[in-house]
Amino acid sequence: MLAIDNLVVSYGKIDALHDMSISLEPGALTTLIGANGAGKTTLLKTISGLMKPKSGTITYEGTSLIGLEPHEIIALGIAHCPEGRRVLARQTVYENMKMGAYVRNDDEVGEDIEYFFKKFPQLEGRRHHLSGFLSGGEQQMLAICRALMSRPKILLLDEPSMGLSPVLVKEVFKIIKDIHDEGVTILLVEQNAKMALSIADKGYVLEVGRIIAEDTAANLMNSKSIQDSYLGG
Amino acid sequence: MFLQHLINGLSIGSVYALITIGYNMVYGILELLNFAHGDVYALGCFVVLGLVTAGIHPIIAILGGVVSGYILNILVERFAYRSVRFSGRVTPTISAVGVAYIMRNAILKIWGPETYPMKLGFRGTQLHLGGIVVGTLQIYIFIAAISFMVIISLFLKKTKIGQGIIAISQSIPTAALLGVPVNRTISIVYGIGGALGVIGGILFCAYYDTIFVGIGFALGTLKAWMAAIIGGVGSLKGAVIGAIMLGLIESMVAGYVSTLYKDALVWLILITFILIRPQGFFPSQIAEKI
Ligand SMILES: Nc1ncnc2c1ncn2[C@@H]1O[C@H](COP(=O)(O)OP(=O)(O)O)[C@@H](O)[C@H]1O
Ligand SMILES: [Mg+2]
Repeated sequence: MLAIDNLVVSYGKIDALHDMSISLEPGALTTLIGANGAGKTTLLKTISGLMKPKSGTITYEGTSLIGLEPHEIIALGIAHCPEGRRVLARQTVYENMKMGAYVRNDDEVGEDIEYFFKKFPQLEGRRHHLSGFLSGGEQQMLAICRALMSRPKILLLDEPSMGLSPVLVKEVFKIIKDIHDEGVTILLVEQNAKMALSIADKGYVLEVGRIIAEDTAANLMNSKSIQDSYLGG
Repeated sequence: MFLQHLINGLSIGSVYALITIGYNMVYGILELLNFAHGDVYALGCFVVLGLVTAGIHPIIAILGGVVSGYILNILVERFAYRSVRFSGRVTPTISAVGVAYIMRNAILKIWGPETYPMKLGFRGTQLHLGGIVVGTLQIYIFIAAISFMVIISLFLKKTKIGQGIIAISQSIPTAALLGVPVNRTISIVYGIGGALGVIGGILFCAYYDTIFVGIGFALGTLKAWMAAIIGGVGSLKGAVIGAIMLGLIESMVAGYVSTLYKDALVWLILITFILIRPQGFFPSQIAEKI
């Protein structure tokens, strides 16, 4: 569904991703795990058009994404829920949700918002509050729902568990699993490898800009070297 | 006497308000002090003069000027600012000053440094109420300033493009990820800023019945900047309140202290104000990156 081949992305002279290849299968939950600074965010930013690659290809259902602007890429059905949530603090919860549907032109946006509000009553109760006043967990839920408001075929999630309490981390992973069950293709980027692999179909391990392992999530979980380096032994 | 100064201050303040709304919108979205703002609208006003002189109906001429302000400011953003958008603050500011000089010289080349009468035919009548004189034009100007503030606020709050503008003013990458076409939306903001500038400039010319090249910088960019400092840079409400306060201060100083030292005194008041309250009365609603 999404194929990335031999991708090289750099900040100035320094390459952050070297010759990277990844593919996402339709409906699959793929996870990319790796330590801080490995290049996970850089990959997602390149897929969604915020960064331009030096070389390599990104192909989505047969079309090349190289050179497209972010608003064109989300319009094709790829939504990116960024690291650190990035809610629009000066807009209300409702306005943030509407912003998520910016690329849509149908008249079901209001219904979709109510659907998510029903699912996440915490957001519903704060629909007219400025998003900057939400708690970290609420902001994360808002960020995920906002990304889903574009009705994406592929959802890119950048460290959704970052900075959340263990209880909230569990809740967020449950939400991700639900989205997966509804058929959305997901690329989940995480430092929390254990949780990510436990819900994923397939995993990639990224180390300083290179993929060093690629397998089913179950196999990665059982791999001795992955256990030692990423799953706390 | 006090009432008379109050009314004069309110109406000149309303002219400044229209100029400042456009200025603050542009500031709000990119945090760029647009030093070309006044010169863009001056050129737009000269377009109106040219059209009126050519015998075109003033209303059509004004529309022509407003459209040219819209287009000019879009061109300025496209060619002078876009490529330096992420180059810190100094580079775009220098670029803006450069554009201002180009506009100013274009006016000087075509119309020269002379002061022209601006006959738009809506001087209106003078109403004598008790001891004070109120021009109908003054009333129209006041209504126009308030209406535009309300229209722009509603546009930002209620329309998709307006919400996109507010999103960009918070974070360009976040807005882009949500599907806001960043370049196109920024163009629109500049266009609106230029158009509102011309409207303010035309009312200025109508108020004084004259036009000259200096209305751009001294009476446009600087006044907008002063009003923005008083009201709050980047804020729409701040633009209007700051501008009206500036008008009132000018009119009171001229009326009670001295016409000769008016500008010097107003600057003195402004500098004192910056020292006491640098964020203005209404810190930005749409600026302030997160
Ligand atoms: N804006 C930037 N400028 C320069 N280098 C950067 C920038 N952002 C990230 N990097 C570098 O690129 C590498 C990958 O970063 P990133 O993609 O953020 O990693 P991760 O998301 O896996 O933590 C790191 O070495 C980081 O220091
Ligand atoms: Mg990251």
